[in-house]
Amino acid sequence: MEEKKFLKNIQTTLQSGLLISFIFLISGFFLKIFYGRDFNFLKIAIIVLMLTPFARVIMLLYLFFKKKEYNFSFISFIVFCLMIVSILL
Amino acid sequence: MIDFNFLNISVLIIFGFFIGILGSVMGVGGGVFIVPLLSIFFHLPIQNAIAISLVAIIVTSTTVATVNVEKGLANVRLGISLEMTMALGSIIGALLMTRLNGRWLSILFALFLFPVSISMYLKSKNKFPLKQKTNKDTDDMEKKNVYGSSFFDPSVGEHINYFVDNMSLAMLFSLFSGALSGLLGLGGGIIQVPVMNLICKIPIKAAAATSNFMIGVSAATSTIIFFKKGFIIEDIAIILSLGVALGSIIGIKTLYKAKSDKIQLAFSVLIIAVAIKMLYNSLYI
Repeated sequence: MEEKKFLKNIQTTLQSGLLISFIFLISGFFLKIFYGRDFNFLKIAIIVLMLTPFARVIMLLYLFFKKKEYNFSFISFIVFCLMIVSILL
Repeated sequence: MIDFNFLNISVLIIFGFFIGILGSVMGVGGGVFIVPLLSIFFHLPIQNAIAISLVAIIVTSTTVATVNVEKGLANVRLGISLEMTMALGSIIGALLMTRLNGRWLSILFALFLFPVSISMYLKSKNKFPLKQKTNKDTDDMEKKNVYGSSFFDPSVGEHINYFVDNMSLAMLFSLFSGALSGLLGLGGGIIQVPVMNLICKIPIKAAAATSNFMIGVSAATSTIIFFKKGFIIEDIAIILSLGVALGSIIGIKTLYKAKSDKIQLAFSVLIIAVAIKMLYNSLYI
């Protein structure tokens, strides 16, 4: 896989995270205005937002592995483990 | 708690908008302004202010990265490597933050604003010791170092190749910047950009973009801890984030042509004022 496609994949991951979060955010916002409650949509929007950097690290792990840059894939794995630690704490 | 009237919502969105522009244009500015705004003007406990600030920082980082990464400005390999210590630092910082009381956090935050202000002042006067002449030139430079990279700089109209020095020292500093990020709700770019520029000797534009790429990951790491502790007030975080996202998108468009000397000078003065106000509040109120 060439470098440009590699970077494009990471970019797509980030954009998808932002988009999904944004959809929940806007829906939650309008639900709150019209129904008085947001059915936890705002909470979900924040969770998606927090998980987007996660997805970025997982994507890096996978893409470096595919590019056979195993050292960087391993480094991404370590960062991923640290993020898991923060969830478990 | 904030009363959600029209005025407060507008203030949060407009403020977020400017933070977004600042964050994406200057690479700093998120937490430095969000934490004082929420704690001084909206009277939120500083723990909540710090947690919400980090949510906004994830937004800026992610939005800006969608553009920078594809352009090749952000050095992904360097970023993820330094992230190992930065993420570890942000966990330590976040845990420390949950154990310190609000008064101490405010004092620490205010004290940290002084060096931030000084560095902004020096930058505005072009006296900040940034390396303009970095490791570049020769085409085969990239092959010398796994972290070596290149990007296209439109301001000089050419591809710039560079390689990376002193990784171990940079890792150490990343641990520190991560800890500071989790503890005080700052992105960490204030430390990370000069470190990469001065210690790793990479061009300033690459340093800023790489720092931005890293900040999202470490901010997310500490935000998750705060989220579980219930420090994030969703409504405020969401409204602020909306403004930040809009500002970041506008800011990216001006990233290449930003001339920010006067803004930096104004902000260095503003930050000092904020620092004094925060110190006063935490010592005498």
